[in-house]
Amino acid sequence: MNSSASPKTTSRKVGTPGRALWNISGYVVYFLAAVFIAFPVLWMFLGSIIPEDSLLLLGLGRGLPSTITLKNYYRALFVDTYVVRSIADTLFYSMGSTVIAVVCGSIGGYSFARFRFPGRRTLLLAAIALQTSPGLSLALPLYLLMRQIGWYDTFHGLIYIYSGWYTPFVAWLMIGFFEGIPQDLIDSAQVDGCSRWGTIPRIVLPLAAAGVFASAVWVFLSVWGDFIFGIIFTGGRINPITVTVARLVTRAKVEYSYMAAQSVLAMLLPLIIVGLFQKRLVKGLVAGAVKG
Amino acid sequence: MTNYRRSLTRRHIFSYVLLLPTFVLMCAVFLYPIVASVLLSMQDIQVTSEGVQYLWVGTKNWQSIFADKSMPQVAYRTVYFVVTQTLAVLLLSLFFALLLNTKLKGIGFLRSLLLFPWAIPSLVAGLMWLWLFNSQYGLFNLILFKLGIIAGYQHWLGNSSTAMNSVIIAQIWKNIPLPTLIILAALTTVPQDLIDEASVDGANVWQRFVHVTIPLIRTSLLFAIVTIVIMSLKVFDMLYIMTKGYQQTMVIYFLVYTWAFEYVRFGAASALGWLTWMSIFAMSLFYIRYFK
Repeated sequence: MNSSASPKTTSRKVGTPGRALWNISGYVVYFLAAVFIAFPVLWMFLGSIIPEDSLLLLGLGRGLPSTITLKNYYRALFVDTYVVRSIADTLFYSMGSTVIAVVCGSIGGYSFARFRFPGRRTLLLAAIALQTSPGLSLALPLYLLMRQIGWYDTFHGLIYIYSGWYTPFVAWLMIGFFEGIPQDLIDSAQVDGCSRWGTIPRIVLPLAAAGVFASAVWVFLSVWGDFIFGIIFTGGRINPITVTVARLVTRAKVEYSYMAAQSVLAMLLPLIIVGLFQKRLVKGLVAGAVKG
Repeated sequence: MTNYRRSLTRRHIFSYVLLLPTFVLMCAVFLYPIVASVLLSMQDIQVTSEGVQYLWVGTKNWQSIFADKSMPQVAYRTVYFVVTQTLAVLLLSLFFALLLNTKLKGIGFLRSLLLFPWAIPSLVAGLMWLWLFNSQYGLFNLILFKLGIIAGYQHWLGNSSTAMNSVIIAQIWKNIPLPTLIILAALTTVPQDLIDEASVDGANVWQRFVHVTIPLIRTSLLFAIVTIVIMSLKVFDMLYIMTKGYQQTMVIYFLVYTWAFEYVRFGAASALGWLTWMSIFAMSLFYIRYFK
């Protein structure tokens, strides 16, 4: 058995036709995979810079567009002011929720990681299990509550929902990062006169920076891209960007290239963030998601 | 001893204080609505401009769920959606993970690309696919028509025989990244010498994959499957933008929204939402086993 297998394995190792074929088929698969992932995004981007009428002709297979235009972006950014306002709204509550969720979740996660206390297990298990909760199911009672206490369609209402929603997740994600910090470091800081509270911003958080960063990005992107809570908890005064984009489709006359431009604006920030921080983000997420 | 005990309780108090924000937010955003939706499910609820009015009706709403004639069909469709979604996403993400685990040049680029569907708001992703599936100028029609696969442009989303599968395709695209990262992280932990050993013993690529790799990543695969099932049970944004549940695409989760905000049957919607929450929560207990 060994003798029949060994020629095969050695021939793989040197640059033989077999190896080259393996590589070429690898790149064909690579190419197909990349097209599948990138194409819808690319198509949307192209749609946003092609004039509406040539876009329709292109879809009908009656000729390629001859010009490109930035008209749709001009209109979205400078004419229809609601788009920029909506982006500003979304940015505001996304950042607010991220800050609260990361601060509360981090110190909660630190408590889970560092201390053993009665009720720890139950609480931790609840934090893990609740993460999968379907937003819509929990949104109904919260919607009625917010209507009654006047938080419906307000920034603090949205921030309350989102930060609460992601705090347990951050706590859970951060545990792994905190457990990596040597206890000696914290003890010696306390010996040097640092208070229990003081060790958290001075020692603990800087050492768990990778986790703080990954969870902040995760929460921000989740809140930015959320639609369910946006559509349920707002009513026109505050306009989440996803709700603004969705509204275009229900109009009587759908302008595809303008819709594409708004969509590109809605996904631009997430794509930039992912593009810039890809490595750190994946490392953080994988550390959190696969620590088992 | 007393000294030790005092410091122990101090530490307990400190750990509870650290957990307080997380705990309060968890109660407010998760615990409250979970309890409240059971109570709401036994009431008739009217939302008027003056406020919310409640009327106790007992188990009427629960009975109406089981008496609803459309329910078997909705349940069947939900199962269909989840099963096809899970199989397709699992196979594709396994494929992507294996591809990303190779040492092809430029694989880092594909890894960044892979995060795009995850980072793009699902509502915007739904819009992309809505447009690709458009009946008059959708690219899907153009390509299939030019390839001679279809005789004329199809109304993919407006036709009950194709609408569901169109939404499924869009959702597959959106859901691939996370399971891929989970499986990829597991693949990188598979020791190369085990695979080499198997190939010395004469195992071919397929045998090595089935008998060496799969058993080693079994837990992560299971985790990925549960993640996909939960993700597909919670399909909302895509349905909202692509079909709104028309054309035989209504699934249980979306029915919660439709009942609550279109038919204004909050009580029945709460009951259904609570059932959805329970079934997902039951599945998330697996997470607990995995992360313990």
